Amino acid sequence: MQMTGQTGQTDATAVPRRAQDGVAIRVRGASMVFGTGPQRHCVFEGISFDVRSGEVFCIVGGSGCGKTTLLRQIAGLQRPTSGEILFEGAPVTAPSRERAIVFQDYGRALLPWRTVRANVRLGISPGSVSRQDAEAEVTRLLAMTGLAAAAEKYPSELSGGMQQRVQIARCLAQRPRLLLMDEPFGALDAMTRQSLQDELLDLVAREGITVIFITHDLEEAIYLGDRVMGLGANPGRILTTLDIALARPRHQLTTREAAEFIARRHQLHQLIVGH
Amino acid sequence: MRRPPVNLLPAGLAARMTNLVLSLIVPATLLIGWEAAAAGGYIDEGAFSRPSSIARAGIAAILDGSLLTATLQTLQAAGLGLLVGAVTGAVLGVFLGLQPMAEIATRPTVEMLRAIPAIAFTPLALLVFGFGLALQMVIVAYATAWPVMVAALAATRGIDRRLLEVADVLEMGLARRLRVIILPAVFGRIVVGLRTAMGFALVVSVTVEILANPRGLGYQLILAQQSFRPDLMYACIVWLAGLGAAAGALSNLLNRFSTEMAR
Amino acid sequence: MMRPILLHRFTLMLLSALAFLALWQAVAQMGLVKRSFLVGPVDAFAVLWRQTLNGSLAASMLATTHRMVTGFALASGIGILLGAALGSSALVRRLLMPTLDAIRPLPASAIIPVAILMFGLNEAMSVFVIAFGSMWPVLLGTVHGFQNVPVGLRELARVLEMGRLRAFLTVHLPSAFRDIFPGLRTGLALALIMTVVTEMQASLPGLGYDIFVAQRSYRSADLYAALIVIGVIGLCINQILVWAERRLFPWASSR
Ligand SMILES: Nc1ncnc2c1ncn2[C@@H]1O[C@H](COP(=O)(O)OP(=O)(O)O)[C@@H](O)[C@H]1O
Ligand SMILES: [Mg+2]
Repeated sequence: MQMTGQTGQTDATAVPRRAQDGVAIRVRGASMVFGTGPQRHCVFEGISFDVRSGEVFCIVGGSGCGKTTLLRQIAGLQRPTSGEILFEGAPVTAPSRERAIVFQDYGRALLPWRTVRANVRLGISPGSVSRQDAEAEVTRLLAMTGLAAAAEKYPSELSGGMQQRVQIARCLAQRPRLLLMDEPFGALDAMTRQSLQDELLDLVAREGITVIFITHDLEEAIYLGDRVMGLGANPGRILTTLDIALARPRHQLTTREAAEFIARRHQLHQLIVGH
Repeated sequence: MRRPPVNLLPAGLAARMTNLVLSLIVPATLLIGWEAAAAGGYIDEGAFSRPSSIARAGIAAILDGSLLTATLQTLQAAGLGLLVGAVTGAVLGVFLGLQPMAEIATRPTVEMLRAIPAIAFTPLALLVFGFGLALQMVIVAYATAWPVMVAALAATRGIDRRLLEVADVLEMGLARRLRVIILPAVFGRIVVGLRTAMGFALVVSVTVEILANPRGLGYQLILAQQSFRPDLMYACIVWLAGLGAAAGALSNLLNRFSTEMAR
Repeated sequence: MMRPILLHRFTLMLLSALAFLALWQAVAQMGLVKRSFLVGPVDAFAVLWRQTLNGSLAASMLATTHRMVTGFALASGIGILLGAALGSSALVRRLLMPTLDAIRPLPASAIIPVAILMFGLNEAMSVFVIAFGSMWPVLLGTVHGFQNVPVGLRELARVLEMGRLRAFLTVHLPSAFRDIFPGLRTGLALALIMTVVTEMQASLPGLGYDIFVAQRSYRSADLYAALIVIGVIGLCINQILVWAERRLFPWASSR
């Protein structure tokens, strides 16, 4: 497919690729408060937003503004102090295999005593498919995430980028409807990060998964997202939610040079960084 | 859900009280049940004397001085043996750490000797030294030398080579080299080995007394069993557990002292 | 100093071991030390050879090893089960840990007279004492291991909607095993010690008893022979553990 956004002129008219029929996640007045009395610390207060089915929804904000906390609430690992979170209409009360999460700290989210293949296999619900089908699915995912050669290695033998691929492959093995990612490429070098960004976009387009992607990197958010939500700190609140009218598939060089990209970057930079 | 520790802190005193109560449930139930069962004649007091008679026997043994005399004998052997063992182990470890060839040459012998439990030497030591303090001391020294030696060896080998080269350049004599470079560098880890050794010293001392040596707490213990005084036997055991705890506290103190020194 | 290459190192070890044996033999033959105290390796190995031929060596080794393994297996089972309960539940910890902490400093051999009263001078008493003595490091390692399962891995189990049993088997136990293994290792060393001690105390057939009998009948060569065998058993245990560690933790070696 030929890129449409090369000159930057068609950007404004480009429509986000995905259907916008349903709402995947609905956050209603979510607040998070730690401690009580003098130790009371309000991370964010009264946050409301919707994530549409099939979109890549990016959340950006400085460190400490509650991005991880918010994502954990959506995953069901943590409950908001007040407010509610709905996943496809039903309240989130506990973690579910339908909402896969790629943790920020890849070193701690893989079983170190299991090979890459066995780690990915964890994602497949036990008893859901036959052994053979499960192995075939794992093999397919390993190939798709560029891990085929590393299948029998242990996580400690892999680079950070490869470990993050293992997490993504395991999440895809869950056949999730929603993929939650917490600064997944934050600790990687620039080259690895860019190729993983493209691989991710490719994968979610093929599998048709809704993605909530957290980052503190404005450009990454714009490059990946259909929409970008900017969070401010103390207490955490929504500063803006921008539609990103950039054509897909995106391209590391041309997309980043598009006028729309640069305009959105300015907008976000002014709101979040402030100068 | 991840529970932040701050939530527990404000209720500090109350939490401590609950902990105390919870921790007393098991021992209190056991002791009361034991006492009641013995009073009701359900258990054989020849094997399990009741807590009250154990307490009485313990107090009597403390008052007539026999328990204290035995304690001193046990501790004397443990302390002196530890001293000899630790010094031997440290000297040997530092020496072998500085002489890689000697370390490799002695490794098979050292590994073999280290694999033999010290207690197994008791009969041999009995042949050589006969009953008494020396028998016990030698076994304790043998047991405690190894952990100190291993720690000293590893620590000495871990010294930065450049430091030793500096010593060469400055043409330091052995005494200065030890004092200025080696000992400060290995001190911390030797203390770790010493703490392990301290743990061994009391156990080995008591065990030699139980097995062979007619002195100290171990002998009191076995004597009480053989002369059908289970009350006294249990009193000795409680006393020994207390001594063990005291040794543990001393070891922790040593640890804190050495980390203070390292600052 | 130059780092000797591997072959040199091995040759050096072999030669020095032989030199040590020769020195030992020489000192023994010079007669500086009474013969009842020091016996040369030639005499000790002659005894070993004789005992190998008449089968008494194998019988003693088997008895000792069997006793040690039985006691240690009991200790590992109880230590790991109790440790898993203590490490996984704060309530169990608060209930039991203080009591266990009060018993733990007791020198293990002090339990011998109690065991004698309970069981008599027999196999059961020996196994009980071995298990009591070697349980503590296993227990402590297990508690530590289960308490320190990384939060990330616990959350992984939740996100994958694992049931309690599956989470225990796939996440908690393997994670804790890194701390359990060193406990098992220390425990096995203690098991050998307690085996020798109880054999001596209760006159149970085995290497510890052989040592005691040899001393009482002033047969020093037999005594040295038994010591050598105990040392070899200890060395074998160490080797097996080194091998087991490599087999069990292949993922940790490349760190
Ligand atoms: N368990 C906790 N107890 C107390 N404060 C917490 C806890 N977890 C997170 N916080 C606080 O919440 C704030 C937001 O954290 P986080 O969501 O990790 O931010 P981000 O991911 O945006 O960097 C931080 O100020 C942090 O100190
Ligand atoms: Mg974060």
